[in-house]
Amino acid sequence: MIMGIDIGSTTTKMVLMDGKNIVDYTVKNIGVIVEEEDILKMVEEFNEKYDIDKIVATGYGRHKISFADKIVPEVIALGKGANYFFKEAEGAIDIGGQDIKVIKMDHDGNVIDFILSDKCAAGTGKFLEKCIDILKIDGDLNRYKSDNIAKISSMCAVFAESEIISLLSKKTPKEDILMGVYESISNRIVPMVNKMKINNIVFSGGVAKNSVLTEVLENKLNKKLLVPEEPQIVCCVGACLMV
Amino acid sequence: MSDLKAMNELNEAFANRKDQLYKQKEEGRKVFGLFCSFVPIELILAANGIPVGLCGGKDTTIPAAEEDLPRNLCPLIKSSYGFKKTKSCPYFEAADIVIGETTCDGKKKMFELMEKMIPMHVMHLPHFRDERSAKLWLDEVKDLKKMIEEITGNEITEEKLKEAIDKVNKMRKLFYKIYKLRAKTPTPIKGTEALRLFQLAYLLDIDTLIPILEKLVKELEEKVEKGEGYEGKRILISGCPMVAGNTKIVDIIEEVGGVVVGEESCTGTRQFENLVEGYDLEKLAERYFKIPCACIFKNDNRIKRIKELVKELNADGVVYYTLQYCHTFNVEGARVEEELKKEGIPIIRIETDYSESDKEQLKTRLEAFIEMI
Repeated sequence: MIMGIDIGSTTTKMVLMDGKNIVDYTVKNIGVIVEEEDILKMVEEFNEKYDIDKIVATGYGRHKISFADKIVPEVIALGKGANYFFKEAEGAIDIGGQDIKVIKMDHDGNVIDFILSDKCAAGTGKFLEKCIDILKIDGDLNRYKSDNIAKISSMCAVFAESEIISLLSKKTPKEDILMGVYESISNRIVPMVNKMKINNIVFSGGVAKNSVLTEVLENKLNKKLLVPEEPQIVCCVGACLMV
Repeated sequence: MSDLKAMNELNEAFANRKDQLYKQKEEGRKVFGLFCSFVPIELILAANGIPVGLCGGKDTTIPAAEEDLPRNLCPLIKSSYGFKKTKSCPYFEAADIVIGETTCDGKKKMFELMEKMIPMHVMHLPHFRDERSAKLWLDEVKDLKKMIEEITGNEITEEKLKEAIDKVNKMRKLFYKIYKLRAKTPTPIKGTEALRLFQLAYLLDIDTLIPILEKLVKELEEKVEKGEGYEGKRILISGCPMVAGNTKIVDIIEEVGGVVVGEESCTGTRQFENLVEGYDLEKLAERYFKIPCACIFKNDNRIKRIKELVKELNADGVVYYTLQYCHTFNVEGARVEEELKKEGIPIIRIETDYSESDKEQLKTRLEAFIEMI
C-alpha cells in the first residue's frame, strides 16, 4: 500500500491508498513544527494494521521526512488529488495555512498553470484563524452567518486586526464582522481564479470546511465549487498517486 | 572551489581587485562608478580611466538607506544608496565620480540625494526609440566624453577610442561564445557560476578579465566536447539585474532541480549582445541605444529577443524575475507573459527583494514550476 504524508504549516495529513481507493487517513492539528520521530510513530501505527510499501511526502515540511521514498511539490500533488475526487475538475483552489494556491490542470490532473499568493498572510488560513481568535468565537463556525456584512478594507492581517477591534468597539455583531472577514478573503482569491480562467473548481484545504465562506466565494465567482467530503486530504491523496 | 580553473582564477582576481584598484588610483588613474549597462565604458577606457560597477546587491545596507529613502522602493536603489551612506563599498569609496542615468524614477530621484555624498554625472536616457531620441542620446554620449576628458585630463583621441572599442568588443565576443556554449545539452557551466561571472565582470579590470574569459571558453569547449556538464530543466531567467551579492533566484532554481542556461538581464545578455560596429561616437552611441531595457516605451524588441533566446538556448521555461517596486520590469512582465504563453512557452513570474523571508515560498513555487514543465 502507498502512504501519502502532507505536512502543511498547521496540519499533518496521512492517507493510505491501495492504488485506487483510500483505505484509511488521519488529520492531525500539528504542522511543520512536528518532529520526524513523531511522524515515524504515526506511520508505525498505520504499519501495524497495513503493509506500507512506499511513502510519498509533500507540503512545506516534506523535506523533514528523510524516510520518504519520494518527495513531490504540493502544487503538483494538488492537481492529482483534485482530479482523483472530481474527474471533471479543471482547476483547484487550496487555502493553506500560509498561502493560497490556484491551479489549472488538464483532465489527467497534470498542472498546466498555477498562481500562489505573495509573501503575505492576507486571505490565508492563518489570516482567518487570527481573525477568529480576536472575535473569540468557539465551536462550529458554520453557525455564524449574517446578511449584514461589516466592511474590512485591509488585506493585511495585522491591520485587519485593528479594524476588527475598532468594529468590536462600535458593538458591531460578531457574525457581521466574520462575514466581512470572509468577504476580504474572497476578494483576495477571486482575481486569482479569474486570471486562471477555470471552471469546475475543486476547493481544498481546511478552510473549505467552512460552508459560509464557501458560499460567499461561490457567489463572488458565480460558480459552484466542488468540495470533497474531507477537503484537507486532497494534496495528500495526490501525493499517494504520484508514487 | 569550482571544477573550472578559470572560475577559480576569476575568484582570485576578485579577491585582489580592491588592492589593484587602489593601486591604479595611486598611479593617477581616475575611477568612474557605474550603475547601469547604458554607460559606454569605451569612453572611460579610452581616457585611461577605470569603469567599475557599484555595490547594491545586499540587504545589509538597506536599514541605513531607509532613514532617507521610502521603504516602498526597489531594493537595488536602497541597497546601493546605503552602501555609499555607510561607506561600506570599496568601489564607491574609490570612485572619483558616479555616472547615473535616467532609467527609472526611483534612481533618478535617489541620485539627487546621493549627490550630497559623491560627485554625480547623470545621463539623460530617452525612453523612446525614434530618431529624435537617438540624436538626444548621441548628445548625451558627447557630453559624457567631455566630462570624462575633464576629469581624467586625457583627451579621447580617435586612436584611443578605436583601441577601447576593439577591446570591449573582444570581451563581448568572448561572453557571446560562453553564451553559445551554454546552449549545449548538457550545459557546461552552472547558472550560479555563470551569474558570478557576469556579476564580477562589472567589478574587474578588463585587462584581467579578458584572459580569464579566454581560458574559460577553452575549458567549456573541452567540457562540451566530452559531453560533460549539467542537466535538468533548462531555465532562462528574464528581468531585473542580479548584482553582486544577489543570487537568490538562481540558487533556488538550481537547488530544486533546474539548470539556468541564460539570463536576459543586465547581468547577462544585455552586457554583451550587440557590438559597436564602427569607430566613431555615432556608432558607439548606436550600440547602447539598442539595449532593450524595460524603461523603453513600446519595447517590442525585448519581447522578440526573449522568444529567440528561449529557442537558441533550448530553454524549457522562463523565470521572469523582478525586484519589488521595479515598475518597469514588473509591468512589462504582463506583456512578456502573455506573448510567451501564446507560443506555449512556460513562464512563471516572481517578484522578490533581497531578504531571506520569502525563500521557502519561492522554493515551493519554483519547484512546482520545474516539475510542471
